[in-house]
Amino acid sequence: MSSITPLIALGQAAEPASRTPLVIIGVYMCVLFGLGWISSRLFRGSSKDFFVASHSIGPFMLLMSVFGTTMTAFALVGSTGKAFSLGIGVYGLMASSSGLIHAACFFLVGIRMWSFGKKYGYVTQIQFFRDRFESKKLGYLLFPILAGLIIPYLLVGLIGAGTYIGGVTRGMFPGTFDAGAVPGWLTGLVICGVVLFYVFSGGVRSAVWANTFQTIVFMIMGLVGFIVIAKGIGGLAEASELTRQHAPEKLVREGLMTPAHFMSYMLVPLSVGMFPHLFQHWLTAKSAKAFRLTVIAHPLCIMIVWVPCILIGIWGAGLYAEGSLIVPKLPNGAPNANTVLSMMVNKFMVDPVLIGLFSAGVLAAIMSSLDSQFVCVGSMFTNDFVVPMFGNKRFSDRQKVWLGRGFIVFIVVITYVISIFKPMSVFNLGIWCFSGFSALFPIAFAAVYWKRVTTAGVFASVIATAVTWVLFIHDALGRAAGEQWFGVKEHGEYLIAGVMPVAFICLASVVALVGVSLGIAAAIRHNTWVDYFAVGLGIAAQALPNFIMGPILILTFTLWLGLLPGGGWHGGQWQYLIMPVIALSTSYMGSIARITRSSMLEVLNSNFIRTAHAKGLPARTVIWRHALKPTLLPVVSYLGPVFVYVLTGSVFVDMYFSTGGLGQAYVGSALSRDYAVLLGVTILYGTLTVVVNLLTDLAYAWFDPKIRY
Amino acid sequence: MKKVVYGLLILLAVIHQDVWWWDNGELVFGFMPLGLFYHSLYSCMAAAVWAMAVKWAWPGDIEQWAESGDEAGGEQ
Repeated sequence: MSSITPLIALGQAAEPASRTPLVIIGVYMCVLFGLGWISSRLFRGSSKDFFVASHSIGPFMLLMSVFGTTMTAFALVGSTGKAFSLGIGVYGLMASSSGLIHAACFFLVGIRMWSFGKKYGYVTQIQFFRDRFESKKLGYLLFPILAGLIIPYLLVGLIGAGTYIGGVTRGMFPGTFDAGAVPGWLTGLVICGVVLFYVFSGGVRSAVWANTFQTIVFMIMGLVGFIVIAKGIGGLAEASELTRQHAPEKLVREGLMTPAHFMSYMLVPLSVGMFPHLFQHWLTAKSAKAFRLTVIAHPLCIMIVWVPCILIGIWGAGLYAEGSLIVPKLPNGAPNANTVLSMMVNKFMVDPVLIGLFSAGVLAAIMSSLDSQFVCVGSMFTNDFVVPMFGNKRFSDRQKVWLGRGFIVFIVVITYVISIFKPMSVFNLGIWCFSGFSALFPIAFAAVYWKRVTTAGVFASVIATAVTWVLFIHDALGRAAGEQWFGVKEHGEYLIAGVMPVAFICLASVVALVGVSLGIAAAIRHNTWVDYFAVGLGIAAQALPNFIMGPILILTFTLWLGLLPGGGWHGGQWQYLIMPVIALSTSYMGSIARITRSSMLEVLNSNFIRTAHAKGLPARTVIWRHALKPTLLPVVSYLGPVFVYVLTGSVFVDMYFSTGGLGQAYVGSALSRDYAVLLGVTILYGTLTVVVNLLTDLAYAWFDPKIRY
Repeated sequence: MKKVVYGLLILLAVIHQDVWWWDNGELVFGFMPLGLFYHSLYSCMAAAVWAMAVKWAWPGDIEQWAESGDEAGGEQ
């Protein structure tokens, strides 16, 4: 893995380092093989047993497996590295907030999801969503998005493991590998092989057993490692005093993060409510009571793992600033934060047996997440893609298990190849992955608590999440530094208007979900509060002509938030179009919404709609197939004049936003008495108006078959 | 009691934003930075409040509904 490459610069040890740690790691892997073999003896061969362990897991194992699943390289390698860069605030960013939010997700959503899964036999969360919203298409939309979001999560584990093992094995194989360290590709290969073996042996039951065992191992070894490192530095007080002297900024948050940045991180832990692998772990619970221990102990378990990691990170920063800790550099010259934990272990753990045990603990944390994710992608492929597509009877139970295994291998190969060629910060990669899941959480919450949420709203929410997530991640990672469209990079974080992008992705998701659901509810249930709210919104939009909207938008998005450029065209780049388009269209959107509403109400009271209901057609079919077309007739009549208004309205918008369009040419030519341009624009406006009115008239015939020309 | 528990959870969400320690780098017990110590305590408080939630706000009917044949039950 290329993240190990900087280690070459450190040179090779003169004497080969002891390989005892690797032997211990090897023994640990053999124990996992054994665990896989034992659980395979208990495997009943059914897909229910493979995917949800036949709902047989008790409180302690549920706590250990759920906690182990949420702690990956992100929690050990990532948190130490992030504390090295951002100081103690990292604990508040992710750990203490997770204690509140994770447990809230288990308590408010997890238990209910478990009850639905138990009652209706769900194996994956997509099955639940498909039934809840009565839409197969929703399943097909969610499957690639959830499977795609799991890939960066798997990458966190593989990159973290490769970087860590590369650091601790430095000098063990001089002449065989670069810097004498086990390369990342080999670590990734071994880890994937071991996890695949025990997952294939017994499915989720194996994963639960291995998670429980591995969680205990990494918690114990983490504490032991922490004590040894602290002793190595000279004691707890000495270590922190050293940081106070050489890197005092790491002991506070001032200068490294703002309260707004800190607060926006609280949205990230919501991701656990949408992790497909966690949903599957919830379903393994024997009873709802099994959740009680998980809800209470989860914040404490997080504290036990994260506090030592944060302290090791800030101590590392102190030692690095003092010059007594060498941290490999990245190509841009910055220290590679991913390697801080392994460098601290290398420096302060002298006993190779201890290094081996501690390293086994780190790998345990990583593998305890990978196994659940492996099982989950297999389950999703079988139950959310193959079965809905080809029917339940096409494949036998055993064939389904094998199909799931085949897809797991496919995803693992893709992830493995990416991990070799595209390493990046474990913490940041994890945050991007969690942000996507967090933005989908409103769907899970609404599915359980909001009866009137609509399928269209959920579709809109998923699409809004996918679009904003891709847009922001491209802006943050795909564009050169300093050329970002929306945000800026500060202290290695990508921030938009001073907060994490997750805030805006979640906002887009919630607005789409609530807006579309309320809009549909307003049309169907008139004279309710939803209707009044929607009508009020329409009137407010109508009351905001473009010469009022323009200044409001510039004040908000350009001057206060600094998100969008205040004017210009720049070859029609999309970020320059957002505000002019909103200013020009808001008022007309309000009018169109009100006309659509009143027209829909009239049509819904017609006799043919009553007949459609009497035939037993679902409400969705009645509205979309029977009522929509006649509803749109007055809307289309209105669109002709609107087109003319938009053209004349663009005169102001063009001038105000300096977009240089027809409106600006029209005004400019009138002021400078350029009659040729003035005449040309007038004729163009006139022609477009006539053509659009003609098209509107022709469209009548399509909307209403009674009209003939 | 249920309302008290939900009130405490909201309070927890509010006191997570500890702006008052933002630039205080004091070491508690000689090794623990104050901000980190506060948030460690916060984790313990979160566990305590969740223990109260489990005792007084547990959705007891959920399990019965999941085991029964009743389709319209639960709190959905």
